[in-house]
Amino acid sequence: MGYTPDFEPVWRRADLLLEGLAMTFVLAIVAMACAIVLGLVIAVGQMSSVRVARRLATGYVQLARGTPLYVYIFWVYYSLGSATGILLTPFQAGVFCLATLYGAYLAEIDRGALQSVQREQREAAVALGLTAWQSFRDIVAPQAVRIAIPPTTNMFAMLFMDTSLVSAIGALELIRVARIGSSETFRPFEFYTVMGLIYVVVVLVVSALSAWLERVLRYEDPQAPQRSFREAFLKRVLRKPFSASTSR
Amino acid sequence: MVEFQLDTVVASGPRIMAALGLTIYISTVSMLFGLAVGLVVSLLRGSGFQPFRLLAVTYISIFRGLPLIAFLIWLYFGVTVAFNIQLSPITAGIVVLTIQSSAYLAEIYRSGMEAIPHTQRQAAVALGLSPVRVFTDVQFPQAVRIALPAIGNEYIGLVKGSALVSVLGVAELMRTSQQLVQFYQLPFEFFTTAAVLYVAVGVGLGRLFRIVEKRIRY
Amino acid sequence: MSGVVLEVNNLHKSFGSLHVLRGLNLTVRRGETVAVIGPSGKGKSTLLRCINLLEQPDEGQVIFEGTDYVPIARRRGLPLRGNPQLRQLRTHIGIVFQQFNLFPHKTAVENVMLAPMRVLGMSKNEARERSLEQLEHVGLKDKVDNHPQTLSGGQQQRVAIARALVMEPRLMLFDEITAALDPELVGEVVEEMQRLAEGGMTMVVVTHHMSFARHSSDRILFVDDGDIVEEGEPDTLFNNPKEPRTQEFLAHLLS
Repeated sequence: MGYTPDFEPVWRRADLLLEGLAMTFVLAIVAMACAIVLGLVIAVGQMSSVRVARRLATGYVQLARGTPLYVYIFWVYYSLGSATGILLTPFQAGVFCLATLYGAYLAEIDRGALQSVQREQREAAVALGLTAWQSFRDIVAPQAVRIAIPPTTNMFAMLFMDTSLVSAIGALELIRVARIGSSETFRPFEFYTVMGLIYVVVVLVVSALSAWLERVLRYEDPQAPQRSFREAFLKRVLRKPFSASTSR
Repeated sequence: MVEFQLDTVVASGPRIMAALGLTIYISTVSMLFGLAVGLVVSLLRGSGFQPFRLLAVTYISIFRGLPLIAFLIWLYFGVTVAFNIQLSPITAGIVVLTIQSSAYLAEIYRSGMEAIPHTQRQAAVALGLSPVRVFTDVQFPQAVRIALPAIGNEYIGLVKGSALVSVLGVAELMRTSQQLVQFYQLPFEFFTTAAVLYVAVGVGLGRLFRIVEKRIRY
Repeated sequence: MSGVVLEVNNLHKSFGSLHVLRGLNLTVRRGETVAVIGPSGKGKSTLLRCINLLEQPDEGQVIFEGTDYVPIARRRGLPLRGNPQLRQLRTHIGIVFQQFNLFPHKTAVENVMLAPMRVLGMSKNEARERSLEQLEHVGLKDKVDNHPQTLSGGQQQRVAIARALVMEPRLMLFDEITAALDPELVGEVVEEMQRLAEGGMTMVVVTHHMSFARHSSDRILFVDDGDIVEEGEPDTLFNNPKEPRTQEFLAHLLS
């Protein structure tokens, strides 16, 4: 093992990695935004009193949960174009695939959050004379949002990891730029190590954020000492690694 | 929209089935290794020795935060080149899948262990069982039962995850489908077939695990 | 029939095969405090929930100030959907629940302010002022900015009372409001009900607190198996119950 790692070329091409990281974030954030909207629509569909809407939404969630993301990305990018004539860029195909699958995962979170606001809360609101819409807006939604934020944040960490799959159809993101960098400089080990570290750090920070939010958003005694983000982060990384795995 | 070229898919049937076999082989071997390594990691994590615990948690954190595809590329195109290690693509794939699944499985074991009431351990100790016996005869069998659904999901996840080994050029189901797509220029047909097969294996394994769960219920 | 606030006629309600209310009749006059006692799970709470139409009766009339609301509730479907007429009814009828049902994401004063702002259209300042007044009445002046989780059960229940009173209801319903409280916290909540009863509020109080029923109510109904078994003035009912089931219930309580 006479190999001496040399990270100098990586720092020299830090601009490339930063660009890839930025693109990964753009991809993840755009996909997440679409997934959140889609997730809400599906959740409402699942809880709708219209039977057809319920069936459709539930069927969609089941289908999406069984779909392997990687195959799905290829399927959308290569075959949808040839079958329908719609040509997507790798970025668009990536956003589409991530948003449609994560929309289904998020729908489950949203539904759970909405349902966990007890019936008594709505009754109390209605008994005061509030309209159904007011009771949703003032009573149910604010409580449901608090419940949904931590798992949604954790879902973002998962989605961030899954953006790596979009590299296979040529989207410019972290993996792609690491490949470019390593072939430019003949330093694959260094580039790929830094790339891996970036993923791990981002995912751990986001999932620690989720744990911290979970604590902060709980309805507790406001006088009770709040744990700082730093403490929450250390606890999550050192003692309680994040949970919840979704897709591959 | 063009007609679905079923004939071509059927004609490639043997090749697709062989590839599916490789997919199942890779995921099953990785699963078996993963179960063993995961157990070791979860024991280290539960040990009374602080450095072991820290090591296990770091292991779990890193390998759960590292995307599979990044891990594959790092190992196969980075580590092997740098340290001049000879590693076949299949071996590299199995190593990566094993490590990643062991990180997940370690947590699955732990939550299984935590779900066992404390009184079980106390009862076993009160009977005079040695710590090792307490683990092997009382705690572990119960934990496995509790953890079985999650273990089943992990296995299904590994089958799906093994598709990523295609980036190393292993001719498993995904790679073979890509080659067939290129050859026949029929992306819709072959990627749809691949997706259906992955889903079918997932559903089949899900059924199998539910049957096993029923069998071993007390 | 001047002075009659509420008239319930032949009220029936079933949950599946469980016939909870079986043709119950009830009249409540202005300023009257009616205590409803009886064994648990025999229709007392359902009666209250039918009065403000949180439950939809299967049969019968619920006439509040001259209007029968049962056909309206039935016409407009699900009780939680509400409609302008039912909302109107609910602003005139206040209810306090056994489990408080305060809104956990709002402070005490925000809990009280919500309905005046949203339903009565008051300005924020006006609603806040009135809410502070109500909270002061129930002795929680120093807790107005606390979230419900930081209050004791008794304090939470007093916030719930203030939340109902701020709407200046013409009828108050109390659904076993001391049943979920620790024994030492019951007194402060019962005192609030006594204060209201003495102040001339029209109230229907479902309760297991016999001392309240006996000393603060004008009339007691003994409800069992979905109907009123016996009713009368507190002293008469407690000292000389006529029906065997009432005798049994009271004897059980005293033993």
